Amino acid sequence: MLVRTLAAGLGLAGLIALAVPLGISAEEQASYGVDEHDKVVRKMSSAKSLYLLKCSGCHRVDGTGAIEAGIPPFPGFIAPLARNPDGRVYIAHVPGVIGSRLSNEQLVDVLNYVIDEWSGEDAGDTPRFTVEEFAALREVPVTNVVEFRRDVVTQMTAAGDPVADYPWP
Amino acid sequence: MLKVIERIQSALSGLVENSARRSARQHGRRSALAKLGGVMVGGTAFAALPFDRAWGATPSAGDGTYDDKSCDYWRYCALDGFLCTTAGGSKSSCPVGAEASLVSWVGTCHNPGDNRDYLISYYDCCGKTAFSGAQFCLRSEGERPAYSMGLHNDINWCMSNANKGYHCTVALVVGVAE
Repeated sequence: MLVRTLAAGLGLAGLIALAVPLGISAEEQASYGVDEHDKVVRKMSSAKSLYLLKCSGCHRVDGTGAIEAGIPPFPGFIAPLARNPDGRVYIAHVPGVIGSRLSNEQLVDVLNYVIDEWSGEDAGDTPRFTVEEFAALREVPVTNVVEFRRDVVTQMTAAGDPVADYPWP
Repeated sequence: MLKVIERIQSALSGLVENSARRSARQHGRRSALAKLGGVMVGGTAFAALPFDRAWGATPSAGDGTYDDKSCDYWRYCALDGFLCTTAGGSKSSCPVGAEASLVSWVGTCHNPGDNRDYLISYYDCCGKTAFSGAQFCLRSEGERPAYSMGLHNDINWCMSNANKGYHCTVALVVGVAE
């Protein structure tokens, strides 16, 4: 009987130990549920590293993309898109941006990196993103990004701006 | 010199044999097993004491952390597929006759050797039939299911190529997670 009571007591102590982690810091609590990979990404601040991690898989290291797979190239196309107000809304809603899980600060850095790298001689005339503007762009409701892109393309084509090929019309 | 060693060996073996025969006459089997058990427990405790597995060499984790043919290789932390190192290629290049996928999966892996996190690009090698003898690995650490497409790696990256047949996967270091 004593043995059984002792065992039950030990089991209860074990349960309490599991349920109430003692001495947990605020920082640990804030990162509860965040795995090691997410922690590494959250600390990243180099725009080039962020581009390599979150964009280069599809847009490729040299920004040339893969048109046949639906990934438009940056060189020659990113500057006119970033100069169009609706183009900027579109950029803020590109699937890779939406699904990146990066902070707005990180996203602004990486998008400006793309403009810096692949705007060519238009780099000086192409506005960069600020965190405030980007946060506002994210708030614009874009429920169908392909349809939205179609409208942007119509506008840009009418204005004589170059637009990258895209497999979804 | 050899003769001396032989003589010592033969003396030792005689000693052991005599002692074993004496022991067999004096003790039952159960007692022998019980004693053997005690020796084995002692042996385990001894083996668990800390000692330098690397024998002074660095770095070595004693497992597959630095073996590029093992799923445990540090660069393969987010890999899902066949290792090109076991399919005629290397850890960073496709086998002859296969071409690298245009698009790839990029993740971060921690290298315990220098305690840094690296950006690893997992290119699929395409256009060659799969080799049945290749090592298959599924680690995909940090991956999320399809509800988070940005972190979903269960994809044939050869889909972007003209030749969509999957052969194997390479792990290229493309940068440092900084």
